[in-house]
Amino acid sequence: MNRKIVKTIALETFVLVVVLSAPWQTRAQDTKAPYPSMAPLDQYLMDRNAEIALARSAAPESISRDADVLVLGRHGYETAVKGKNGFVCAVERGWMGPFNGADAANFWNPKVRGPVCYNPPAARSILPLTYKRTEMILAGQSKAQIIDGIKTFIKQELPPLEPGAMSYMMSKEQYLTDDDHHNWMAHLMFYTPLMDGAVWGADLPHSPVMLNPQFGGAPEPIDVFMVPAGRWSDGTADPVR
Amino acid sequence: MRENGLMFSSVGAIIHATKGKLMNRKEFTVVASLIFAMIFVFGAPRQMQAQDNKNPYPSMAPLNQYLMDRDAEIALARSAAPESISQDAEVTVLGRHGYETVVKGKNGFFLPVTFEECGFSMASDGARW
Repeated sequence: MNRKIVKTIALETFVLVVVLSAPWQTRAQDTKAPYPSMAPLDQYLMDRNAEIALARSAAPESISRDADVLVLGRHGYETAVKGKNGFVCAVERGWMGPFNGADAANFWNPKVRGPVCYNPPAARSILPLTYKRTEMILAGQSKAQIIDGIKTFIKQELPPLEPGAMSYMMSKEQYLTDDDHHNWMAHLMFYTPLMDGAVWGADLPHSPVMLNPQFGGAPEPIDVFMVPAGRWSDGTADPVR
Repeated sequence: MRENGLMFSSVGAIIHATKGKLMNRKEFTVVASLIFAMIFVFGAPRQMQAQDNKNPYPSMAPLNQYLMDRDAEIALARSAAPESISQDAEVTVLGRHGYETVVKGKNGFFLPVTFEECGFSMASDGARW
């Protein structure tokens, strides 16, 4: 073979490798980060009445009917219904999950809908984090900027975590993951200062307690322990899997 | 209801028996005593039943009734949590003067059989004692 033929074969082989491997690379990237950045804002917004109903479905009616209800607007959460029992129900979006790591896959997933009802201590000491994160997200800030903003907020404005802070996530209609079980499981969440999950027996074999990676000091200095509720807010069974 | 009906019909009979006559003081005393006795006799069981419903265990039972076989109590205490937690937990049993540690643990968990807490959680059913 003369030099020209070798050069041609090498070039064609290279092109072939690039062409054939491109779809694989794209697929791998899709699997790795299906939602790499924020979708258009409209995809995160909902019909107001549907959002109120979905927010209320986070807890049994005996709790949610007298709760404050929030809806997401273009600049943050707004109170749509004034309650009287101190609970606050809202539909959170994917950006309330971890900022980084394997559990951050749904951070920008516009399909995520996390109805939650905070009890009064959580409404005072945890919900402000939802307001703050959401406000910065909607202002177009980057993850790095938001993390810095949250750190400052924690130092200067966030009330101390109140004992007894917890929330309900028992909506059958919740959408928490693109996996087959979109609504994952009805559960309760308990908020504590940062601690070793083993103190709660979390994630040990047959323990119903799970440590949620939601905050975990990155940057919020709060741990969230989850316990299956065993039934949805409408009373139907959600057997613990 | 049936007891009340019986009581009222008895009172009616007494009234009927004295109908048409002006009761003298002695008759009146007898009638009043009978009515009082009937109210007392028929009313007492209902009061006791109501009290029973409210609190079937109004005071502490003999101590032995709260105590258990030691090994059974250890096993029961451990059954409170999944084995992954209870296998390394401290276990206490109730003795005649309080809880005693019978198994020293190493994961910081503590497993007494908490009769009192069960009582609190079921207080509305009167199960404290």
